[in-house]
Amino acid sequence: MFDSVSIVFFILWVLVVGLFSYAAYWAFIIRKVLVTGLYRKQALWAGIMGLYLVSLSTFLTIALSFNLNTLPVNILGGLLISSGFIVLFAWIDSTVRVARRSDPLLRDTLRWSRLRYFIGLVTLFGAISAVLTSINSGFALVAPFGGALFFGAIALLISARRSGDTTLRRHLKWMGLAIAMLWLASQLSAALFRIFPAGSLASEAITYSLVAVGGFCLYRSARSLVPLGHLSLPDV
Amino acid sequence: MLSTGLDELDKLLKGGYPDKSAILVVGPPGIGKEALGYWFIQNGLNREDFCLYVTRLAVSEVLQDIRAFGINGQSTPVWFARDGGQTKVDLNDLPGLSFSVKETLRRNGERPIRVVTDVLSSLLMLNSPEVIYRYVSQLLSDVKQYNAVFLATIEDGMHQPQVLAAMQQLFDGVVELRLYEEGVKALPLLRIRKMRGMPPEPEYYNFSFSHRKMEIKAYVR
Repeated sequence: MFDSVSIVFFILWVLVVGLFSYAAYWAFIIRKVLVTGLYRKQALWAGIMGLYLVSLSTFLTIALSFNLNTLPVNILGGLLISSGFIVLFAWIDSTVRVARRSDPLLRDTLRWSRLRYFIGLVTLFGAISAVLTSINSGFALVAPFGGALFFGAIALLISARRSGDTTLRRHLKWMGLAIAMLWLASQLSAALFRIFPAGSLASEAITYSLVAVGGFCLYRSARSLVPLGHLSLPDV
Repeated sequence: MLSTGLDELDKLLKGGYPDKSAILVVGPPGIGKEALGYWFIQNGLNREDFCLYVTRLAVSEVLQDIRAFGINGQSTPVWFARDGGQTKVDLNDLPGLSFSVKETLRRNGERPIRVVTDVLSSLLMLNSPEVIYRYVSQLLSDVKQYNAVFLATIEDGMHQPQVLAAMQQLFDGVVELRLYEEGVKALPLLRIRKMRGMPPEPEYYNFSFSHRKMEIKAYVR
């Protein structure tokens, strides 16, 4: 039988996965109704990011809860974590290109149209090395996300500042908050291990709460890909 | 009336855009408002009207978008573009842009004229709204001296609502393409906010794009 702590973990996991799934759902719904390729691509990658986080959080919950550390688990973990590099790069790339399109002067921030090939290549190497690290030392030791993406994030922020598009800025604000919360959760969970015993309710509740806030931010970012109106009864 | 290039939209507008009119298409980026401009131009090219496309993008970027709507772009309009057009567009040079447009229209004034542009949002971001209201107002009165229909697109969600509302006052017709939330669905809805010669049209219409056409159906909640 499950104890009360396991049930709490399960409820928290369902909440987190639900939020990420709902974020992905909205991104795909919005993608379906957009026509221009550039904007469809951005919505697609925002949706894939949601799905990616669903699978990553599910994997981490199962693997860490049951303390799984076999080679197949490490390979799977390495592949999952490394695909995060690619997904994040693809989202940054599509969003920088959208931001460029909405910049009135169409400036090519940090020469992104060329730099993207280099950053893409470095990200790919980062992803491969993450898989290798995971196989050799275990998935728990893989550092999340490559430094190359840092330059992508800078290009993205500069482009957004130049674009003057309030909708894009709203999307970026929520996506930035989502990534920050998930990063904070990953950092905090390591620190909490030193304070609380492994698998304690307090440490998991704190980590999951942060991930849930990240999930909510991701949901808000997906919904802010385009302005969504509400029909009031007198309008129809 | 000048056909919009889309049968269903022609039916909705009782034949097309009014002669010597200025039409504003409002909608968020990527929803397909550019498609209305492309089809309008394509229809004009088929009828051998003089067609001018003024874009802040490069011609290659516009042609890439056009292909998504099933338009091959074999017969092309006169381009004023950032790159690859007959005339280079410099958004910081408002008088130069206005002069080039007027000169081109003067030289081709014997034919029906169609002008499509996507520069309004960029101009509003680079200048104060008051400057752009005066500029657009003057440009539209010059364009209307010819047998011309002027269609401009503007981004929703990039400007203050009052700026958008003021801009709509300058145009004879306003077509709105927007996404609305209904439960857990996002609905693309079209509304004719106003059109010269037509009574106010409060109804919403569902719209979708498929290869070479736009489907429009009355929206029933």
